[in-house]
Amino acid sequence: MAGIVAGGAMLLTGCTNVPVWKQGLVSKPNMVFNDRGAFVYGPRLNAQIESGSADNGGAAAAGCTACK
Amino acid sequence: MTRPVPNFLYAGMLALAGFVTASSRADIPGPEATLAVETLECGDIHLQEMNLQAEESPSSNQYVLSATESRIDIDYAPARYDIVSQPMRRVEDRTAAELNARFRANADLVPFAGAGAYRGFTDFRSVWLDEYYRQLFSGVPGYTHVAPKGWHAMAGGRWSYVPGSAILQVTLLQQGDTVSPGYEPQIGAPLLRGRDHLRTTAVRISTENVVTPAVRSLLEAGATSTTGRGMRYSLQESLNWAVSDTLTLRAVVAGVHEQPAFNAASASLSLERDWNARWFAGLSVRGYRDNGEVVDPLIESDAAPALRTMSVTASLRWQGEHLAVRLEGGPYRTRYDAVALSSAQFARLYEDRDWRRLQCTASWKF
Repeated sequence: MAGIVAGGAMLLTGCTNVPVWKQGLVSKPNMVFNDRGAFVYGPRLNAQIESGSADNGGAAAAGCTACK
Repeated sequence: MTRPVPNFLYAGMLALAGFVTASSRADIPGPEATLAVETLECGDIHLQEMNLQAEESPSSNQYVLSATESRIDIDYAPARYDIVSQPMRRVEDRTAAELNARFRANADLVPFAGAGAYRGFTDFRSVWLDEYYRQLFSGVPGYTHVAPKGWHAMAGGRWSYVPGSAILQVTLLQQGDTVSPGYEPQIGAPLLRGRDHLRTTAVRISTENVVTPAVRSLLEAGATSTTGRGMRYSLQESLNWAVSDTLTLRAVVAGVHEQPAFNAASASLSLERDWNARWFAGLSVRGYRDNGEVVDPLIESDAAPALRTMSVTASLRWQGEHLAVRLEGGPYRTRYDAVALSSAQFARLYEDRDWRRLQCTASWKF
């Protein structure tokens, strides 16, 4: 439920159009959400330890193959 | 114990030197290459990963080829009362490759697809458990050696529903993994073998928004179904705030729930100062906690108890016209709740540890 509320709020917020000429600050390289390159933030190896990391699934989240 | 530097790290350093000394061709737009090397180590565990990405954008499409080589180097140590198993050093390498493509259908819609495969253990915990079961049951009827491997395929679309200000992205993922399973002895029968093939289906939805002229937001929600496990739901909000022309504050809050009762939460805060968008220096603090994967503490289980982690990271990066280099690192602390008496043989795996992390990334735009 919290996710639906947050998602709806964010979609509605997106409807407030910020004109491109006012986007100088949010276009700086460290303000953009990159998925590659030198401005990707966050460790990759910690996910081996934190099985509840948000993007974990599959084998990486199933180390306890013998869990009972 | 002295640990030799693996060949791929030498190769990475040479490639990095190549990037730095490569000739400048400012007037020619073209591909981009990124090399990232990360290490995470403590007294008995050393993890290393090198990732090389090449990006090419012929016409309006974009193709990204990625290759990853990682190493897990552990000093396996059995429980003190275990008179069967022996301490042993295990070194496992993992190789992975991935190809992703983005196709520009029109100005506002970008479909994308990708696929990849890997060979090797994905995490040090599965190496530790593989060694535990190998020493205990190797040669016993029902035990089979498994070489972990896997693949994934994904497809989705990115839609700018408010051009320049708001983006909605949907991703569908299919994944197959072959893992080293656990074993359970039975009286008068072969070992009971755990599941060694996992299939994962996931859907992720995200929306990125320019909320104000100084705030950019990314909300990501996901649902993941993996063979033999309950549904996993995740929600993550990332907020980048340009406090001033030179100061940037980044916050990330995430939560995960997996049925029936696994919960995890994490939060991080980063402050970064830049000088003319050329030099960037920052400091980050991140905390994570979960309630563990143990369902019944009275029954023997190799599942992890509740975990809390904390990390502090200092970073320095330089952005040039063609070259961008980032160096970051800092301490990382992991603290587990006590392992239940019924599962004391796994106490060495779930010990509290103080790690050191170092990451170096270089991107070159040709």
